[in-house]
Amino acid sequence: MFNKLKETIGEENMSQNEADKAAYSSDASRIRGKADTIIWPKTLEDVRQAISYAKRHNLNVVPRGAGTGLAGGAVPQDSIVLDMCRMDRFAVQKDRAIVEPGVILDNLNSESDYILPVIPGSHAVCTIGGMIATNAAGMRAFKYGKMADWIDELHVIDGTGKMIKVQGEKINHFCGWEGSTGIVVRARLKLIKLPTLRTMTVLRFDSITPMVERLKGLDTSHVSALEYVDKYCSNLIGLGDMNHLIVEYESEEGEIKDEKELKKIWEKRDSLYAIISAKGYTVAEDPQVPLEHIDKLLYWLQKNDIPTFGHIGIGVIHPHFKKDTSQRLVEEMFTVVKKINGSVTGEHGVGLLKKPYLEDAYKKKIKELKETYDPSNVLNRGKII
Amino acid sequence: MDDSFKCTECGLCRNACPVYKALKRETVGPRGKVMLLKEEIKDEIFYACTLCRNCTVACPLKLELDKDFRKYRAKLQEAGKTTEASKVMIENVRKYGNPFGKIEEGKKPKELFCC
Repeated sequence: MFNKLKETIGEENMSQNEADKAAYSSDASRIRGKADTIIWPKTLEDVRQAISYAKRHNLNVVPRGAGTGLAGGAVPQDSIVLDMCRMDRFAVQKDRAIVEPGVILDNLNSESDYILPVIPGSHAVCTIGGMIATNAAGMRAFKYGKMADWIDELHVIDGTGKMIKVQGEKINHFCGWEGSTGIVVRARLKLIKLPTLRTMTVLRFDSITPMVERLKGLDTSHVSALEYVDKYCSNLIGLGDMNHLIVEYESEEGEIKDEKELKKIWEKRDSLYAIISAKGYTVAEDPQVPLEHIDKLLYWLQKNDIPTFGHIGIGVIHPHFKKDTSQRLVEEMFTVVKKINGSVTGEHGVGLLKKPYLEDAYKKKIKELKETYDPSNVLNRGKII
Repeated sequence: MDDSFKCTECGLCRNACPVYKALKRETVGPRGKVMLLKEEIKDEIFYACTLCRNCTVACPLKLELDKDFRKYRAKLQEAGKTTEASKVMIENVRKYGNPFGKIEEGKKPKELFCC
């Protein structure tokens, strides 16, 4: 069936063997799907050919970066998987970078003194394409916002196989929609000069109320990251039996000045997802709630023994659930989240995991975008809606 | 295969693996191989591991996946699943004590790939 496509893309860049299909059947969400074919495009023309082919034969295409997503956004559903990792060329010129989607964030950030300051926990492996697809936030979102804030221009191939160049407001038609409106093949990103000074203060609290009070009263003018780690998670990474706020400053204000000490604390924080997951808490959620009501959610999580950490500075936290009990508790949690005007996803995306809990306005928006850019529903079919 | 079944599939090992970095294919990376073990797919891809343990260094749980891959290779070997290059290397080691075979005085070993 794929003979014609093989001629164009090259047989060595496509596979339907059992081993490849198994390896590409899931992502870090551990939701199992089914890959039909894997394609490793090297050029934007390869991507265009694959999408056009899928459209002609009523197949669907799932784009994939590093497969570190936690909502199942890259899990195939009898799909052609486009592994974008071989499209990994980039060029940095002072405070701008032209990148292909498979570029790894840490590779980009080690190229020069200029960096992309959006740093998810998976920075060592995650790709720029995946970050755009999920509108990634991460540790320093408190100061630097989300991925959409750092994009100057995108080149995408939409569901009809057409290449589109977008800037300004239209970037939001593709950033954060998990490749379901178009596949990013090139991006121009804004960078900042690497901050030379970083310090940190780690605050400890026995209970939630004083912690939230302190959080609200904190002078945040030089804060670059504001992370929460609850008692259970703090114990797991050796911080002790207290709730913790990790406050990173880009000034002298922090108590910990030694760079190595800072790095050690961030490494512990980066490892939390895998450590909690190994304890059986494999379902990772990412609600975002307004700071003034966050205590209500934190108390609910504490009452139900749900391990939690996250980017509390922007109201995004990561409660982790055990698979066998998750459905009832997740539903209850989202009731609390909606009651305090929060949203079901702050940064992981909707994927397969959060489809049942999606707000109506979100569904309406994606339906409109699909109608415009992917009327045949070729791209990431079955996700989000 | 204990450690493979403890793997949380977070993927943080990917870029530490020299084989993955060279081939950019999920299947050859540590997480890809773990998926194959979990699905019980017997494939010669397990020979595509340098046993360098970089995946253990990058792993938040410090899992020793290389030990599982080594054990699995032995199983593949018992089942007669091996690569042509492996056969040549084994034969060369037996004959010359050197996987590259006989090397003439002053000559460099030829390139040899196992996968």
